[in-house]
Amino acid sequence: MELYLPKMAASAVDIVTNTQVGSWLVRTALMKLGGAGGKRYASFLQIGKSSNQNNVFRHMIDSYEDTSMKMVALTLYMEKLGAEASMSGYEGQLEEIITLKKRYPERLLPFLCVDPRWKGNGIALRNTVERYFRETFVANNKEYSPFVGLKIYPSSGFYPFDERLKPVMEWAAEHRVPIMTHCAYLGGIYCNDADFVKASLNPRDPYNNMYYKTPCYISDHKKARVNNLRSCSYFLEPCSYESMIRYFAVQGKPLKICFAHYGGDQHMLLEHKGDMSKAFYGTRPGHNWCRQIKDLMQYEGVYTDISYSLSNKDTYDFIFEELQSSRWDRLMFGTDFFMTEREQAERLLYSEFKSSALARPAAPQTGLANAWEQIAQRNTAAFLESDFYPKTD
Amino acid sequence: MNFETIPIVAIALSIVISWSLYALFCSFLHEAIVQIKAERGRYMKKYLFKQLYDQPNGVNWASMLYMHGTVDLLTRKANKPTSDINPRIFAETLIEVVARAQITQMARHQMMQEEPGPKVRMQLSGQLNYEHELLNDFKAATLLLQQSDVVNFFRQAMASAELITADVQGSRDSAVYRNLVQQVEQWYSEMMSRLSLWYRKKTKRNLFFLGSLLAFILNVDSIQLLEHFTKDPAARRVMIQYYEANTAQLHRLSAMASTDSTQVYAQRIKLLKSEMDSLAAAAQLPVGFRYNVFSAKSDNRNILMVLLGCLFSGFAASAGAPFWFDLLKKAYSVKPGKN
Repeated sequence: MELYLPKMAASAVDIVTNTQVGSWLVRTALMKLGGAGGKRYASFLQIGKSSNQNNVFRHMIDSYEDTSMKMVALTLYMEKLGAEASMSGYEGQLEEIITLKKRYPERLLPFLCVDPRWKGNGIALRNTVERYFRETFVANNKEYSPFVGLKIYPSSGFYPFDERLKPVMEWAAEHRVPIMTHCAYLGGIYCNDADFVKASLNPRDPYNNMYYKTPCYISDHKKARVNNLRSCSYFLEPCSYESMIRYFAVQGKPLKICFAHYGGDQHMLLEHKGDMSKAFYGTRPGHNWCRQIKDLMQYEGVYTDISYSLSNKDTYDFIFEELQSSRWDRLMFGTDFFMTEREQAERLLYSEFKSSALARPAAPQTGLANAWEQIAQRNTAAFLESDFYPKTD
Repeated sequence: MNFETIPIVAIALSIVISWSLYALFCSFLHEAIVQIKAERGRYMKKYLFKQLYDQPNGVNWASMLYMHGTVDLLTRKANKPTSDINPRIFAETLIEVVARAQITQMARHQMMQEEPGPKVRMQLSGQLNYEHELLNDFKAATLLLQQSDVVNFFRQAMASAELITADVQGSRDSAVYRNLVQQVEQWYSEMMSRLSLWYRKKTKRNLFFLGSLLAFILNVDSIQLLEHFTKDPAARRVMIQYYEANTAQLHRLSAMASTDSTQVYAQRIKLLKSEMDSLAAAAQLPVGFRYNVFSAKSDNRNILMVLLGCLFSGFAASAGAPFWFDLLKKAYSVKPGKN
């Protein structure tokens, strides 16, 4: 909350929401007065404040009748977002998710968030990541790695091609470890430290050995918070990944990377309509982010998912068309619990989409019965498979 | 001779009796709010989180402790943490959490497989010579994790446990473990007694704000009450007689434990309110909604004096009902003519 509110206000909201009545009042006020952003924070308050990780996960799996469903859980490095350090610490967050993984070894598939600022240098970062993956545990007579993939969240203040991340990316490519990256236009968490953002916009890209000169701090709004959000688009936009993806593709060890949210529901709809009239923040203002992700799919290993975007039912037609296109094997199902709770309950979101997908045919190349098996089983299994998460029947 | 015949003593007693009843009412109301908010549990959790946050290692041992089944099962809801963790449970769970932590396991395996080198490796391995892996893991954590206040505390506890049991015959593991648990228990008990002190100060502050606010709403204006008792001997008589008739019950209420349920406090508030209403009517006290500054019966008093009077009442509430009842007890123990 300190990312978006003054410290005193954040503290006051924290205190007031310690009771159910207070929580209800703040949620109602946020939803009525806060617009889209307010609803999002309201959903955070409803679930995030009232539950620990164990309860959040239980809440989620209880939403699904199918007990064979597996859930991907994404950790997040929040220590350098321009607010105070988290209460549990980042390694503490990892400890908690690992504890949960040990309770649900088959159903929970955690992704380890990497941030170039986590460790002193790229080698230390890679070694730490590798140690986390290799510190396996045994449950039900089977050995499990605590993590199955990596997560990056560049809008927290770094580029995906950050040279401190290169050793980790090389390790990930070597072991076919999937990477999930947040990719919704002007959505999600961003770095609220203007000085840091300004200083970080033009680094050297180690994948093509060139300086990334184009980005410039956006200061057209009177609120610094809004300028920071817009400027962080440079870190997040899909085209900033191209040099890195091409580098690994040329080496014959393509990076497996998923651009979550497919650019966001609005960009999906713009792409579906072929509407090129709008301009966006970033280095390619004329290209919506859905288009940019589609362009990157020329490279092997580039995936996307429909998490959060599927809460907008207008995107369904586009999604099912994509499943029949040349990108038939790149689209994956996702919901983005608990962010979507403010739009619709997880159970309804899942069941409505699943009903639609079951009624649609799968792409002929798959040999599958319907689009649901394609988007929620076949494509996700291909994405997740790695040296640390072997394919199972 | 009795107090009623000495006007200044009677006035003082009347005001103290008013304050003691008001403080009792405020403390019951405050306690009901604390119960609803599970504030004690939150307070304890907040400070344990603060004290056990291990910044160099990036973990919060308290967070992991609360997530451990042993402690989690003591909590009725995630947002209503328990305010009572038995010292032994705390100690044993903390030791387990530290020993089994992923960062501890990773550090141990890194030591065995990689740097710092075979000689250092052998030296470290030599220190991990317990039969039970829990002790080896805990000790490894104290040796291999990055130095921090918390890790230094673990290290000291381990070192003390080993020193104390250096001459023990028989199973050394159980003796070391017992002592280690005792060391952690001791720290926890010390922490809890400090926490109680801090919480009492916080309660005083909360009672002051609650008392001042309620006083403003209900016109419990100490200055006005003083004026009233000064002018009206009948009111003083009513107050003193009420106290003398209900001494035992009032003292018992004042000494009530704070672990009763919200429903019990709700009943007490209702009962006390009814008694106070009757008393206010009998003594014709200018107390209640209809006497506050917003109502017609407010006598157009100076708002600053009203605020000051309310602040005095807030102060009286923050002193706590036991303080005022003790004062009354002492006053009655030196009452003229008392045998």
